[in-house]
Amino acid sequence: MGKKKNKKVVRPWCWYCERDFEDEKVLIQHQKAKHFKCPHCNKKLNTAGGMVVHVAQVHKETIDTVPNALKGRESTDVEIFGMEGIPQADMIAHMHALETDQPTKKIKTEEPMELSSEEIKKQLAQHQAMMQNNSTTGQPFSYSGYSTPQQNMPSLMPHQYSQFYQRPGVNSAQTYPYRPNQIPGQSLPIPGQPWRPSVSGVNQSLYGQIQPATTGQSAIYPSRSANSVASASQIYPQVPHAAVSGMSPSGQHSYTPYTGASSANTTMTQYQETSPTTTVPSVGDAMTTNETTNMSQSITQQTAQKSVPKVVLVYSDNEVSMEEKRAELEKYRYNEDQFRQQVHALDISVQSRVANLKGRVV
Amino acid sequence: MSYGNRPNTSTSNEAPKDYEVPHGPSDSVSEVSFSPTADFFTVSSWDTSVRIYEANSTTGAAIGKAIYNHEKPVLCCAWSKDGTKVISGGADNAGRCFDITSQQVGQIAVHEQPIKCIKYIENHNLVLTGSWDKTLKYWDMRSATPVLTVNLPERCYALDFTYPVLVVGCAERHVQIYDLSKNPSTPIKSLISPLKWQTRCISTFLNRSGYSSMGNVEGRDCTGYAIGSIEGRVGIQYFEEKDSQSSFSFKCHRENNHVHAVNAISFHPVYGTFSTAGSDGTFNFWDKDSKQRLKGFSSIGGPITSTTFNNNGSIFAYALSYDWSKGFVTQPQKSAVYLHTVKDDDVKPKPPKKR
Repeated sequence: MGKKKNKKVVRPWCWYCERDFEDEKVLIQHQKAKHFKCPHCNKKLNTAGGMVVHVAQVHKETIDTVPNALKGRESTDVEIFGMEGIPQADMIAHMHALETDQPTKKIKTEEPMELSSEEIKKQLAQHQAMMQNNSTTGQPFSYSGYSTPQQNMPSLMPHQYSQFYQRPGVNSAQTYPYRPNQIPGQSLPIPGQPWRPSVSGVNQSLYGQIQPATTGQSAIYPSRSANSVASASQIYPQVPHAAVSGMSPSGQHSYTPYTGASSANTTMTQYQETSPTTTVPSVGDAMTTNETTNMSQSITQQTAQKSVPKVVLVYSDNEVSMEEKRAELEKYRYNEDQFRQQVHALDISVQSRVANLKGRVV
Repeated sequence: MSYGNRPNTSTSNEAPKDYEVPHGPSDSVSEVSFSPTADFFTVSSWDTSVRIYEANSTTGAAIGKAIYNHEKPVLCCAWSKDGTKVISGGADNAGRCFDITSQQVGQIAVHEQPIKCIKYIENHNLVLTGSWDKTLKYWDMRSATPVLTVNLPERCYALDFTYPVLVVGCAERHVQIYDLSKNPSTPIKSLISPLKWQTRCISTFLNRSGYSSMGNVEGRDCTGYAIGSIEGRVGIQYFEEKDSQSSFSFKCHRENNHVHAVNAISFHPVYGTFSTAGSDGTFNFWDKDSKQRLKGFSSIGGPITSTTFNNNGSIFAYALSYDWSKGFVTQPQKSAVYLHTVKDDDVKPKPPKKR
């Protein structure tokens, strides 16, 4: 995302969504596909005004917002074509953003991370308070949804806990195959290196949340290294997922986050199952993992809900055809045996009547 | 692959205002088929009838000519090459033949399960039937036993042929390709449909020159087939290895997030462009070579179950009737056959549009 190679050379950018492009041609293509496409017939128009006229004339409907545009920039009255027509104020703001090395896009990526780091801090504080509470009262600590037996926890807890957070991941790393709290760079995957999707869902949010508490390093890290959908949604929050998923074969892509979430869940339970005999540091571990898993799950579920275009097959039985089902209907069914039975029953009744008649005659 | 771009001339879907064939069947239409020699067409129906009409290509009107019945719903119908016989297959497991001149009906084929597809193979003077009993059978119309029985991997759902190539679409997405001139009993290719969902219809197409040389057998070459599935998608597949990279599929017959089945694909006999029709009640004309939609029409209010062009491509007949895509319904919509006068501009191939 090399933003500021040269202050004089500004990459062409889209006023509607603040995305920048290699080339003005690509920008125009993007605008036609994302912002100037008729929602009724997918015809690509050159400008927002053109789209308004087209929708009014052809579909007899009015359109007053530009699809996929940022809030406040949805107006169809502003005539934008590529880089032409961008209001002076926004141009200056964009340049300023570039100069102060705070590209709007970067801010956007950081947003969810900042939120989560704050949250984790809050949760940590709460947790600490709770722990201290527990240790003083001597009550066995319990956390909803968390079922690891805690034999010697009450006494050990506060000490271990603080130790754990002061020297993150040194002790626990040896006992657990899965170490969410380790400092990046020790043994965890390098950004850019592909992660297994099943784990990445968990790791990703763990990073975002735990890092600020421990190392306070770059918060963009997880979103860069993360897998497909979650990261996409963070980088372009304003782009509706329907548009993104429209490019991939329907359905397929939308399942990815879901399996990610569910497998994260299974990792979680496996983890819990293997840990019951262990002592307190694991509690801290499992705790945070538990929370963060839930969160990452909810995030991925949200994205999954958003990105599934809810495609409904009107006829969805892949095994049996419509006609076969229809032919099963009583009205249409052809059953030779039934006919034979009917004929046979008729024969019998006729014969018995004939016999009766004969008896009377005789 | 989707036909996102569309020529400027047809940005909207116009409602088709077409002629409704009078005295239509009382239940859903299973197939509409035009005679290869004249503007006669047959309509087979779930009301057990096969109706034969004559269309007047100048006025666009049609009059009923004859009717005959099966014991149970008729699932398919076709014409003999010379246009003197109508053949049909139905849910009574029987194939029947109606002689236009003598007005006589006779049984020509029998299966253990309903006959879903029937075709007349003029080169061998045989009738080909495909059934849900997982067989294809060839009949010579005089004998009670089939000339040849071919086992299929699954129930036969759709088939089409352009001599010598026969393409059969079966349940579980099986597709079998036969060379009738060499060995009709073993497929030259046995594959799985490129589409991920159940096969609904199949239509073979010729090479470009095959269409321009109308009626001339030389140079007519069946190069591939179009296959439609229940998941609003059509695949264009080429047989030859060298053309295989030009095979593609595209989405169609979808409104918002409802995906309808593609019920029928018919190729235009002169231009080689084709129509698709679906459960959504719309039909479209497409050009596979320039990958464009040539013309779209808005919904006619109910599923279209079958389509066909007449022999010179001036009339496009389509059947409005309930196709069972939503299972049993208490009040199915009416069944009717419409004749659409084809505008040349709507079906003429267009040069590929520059992006």
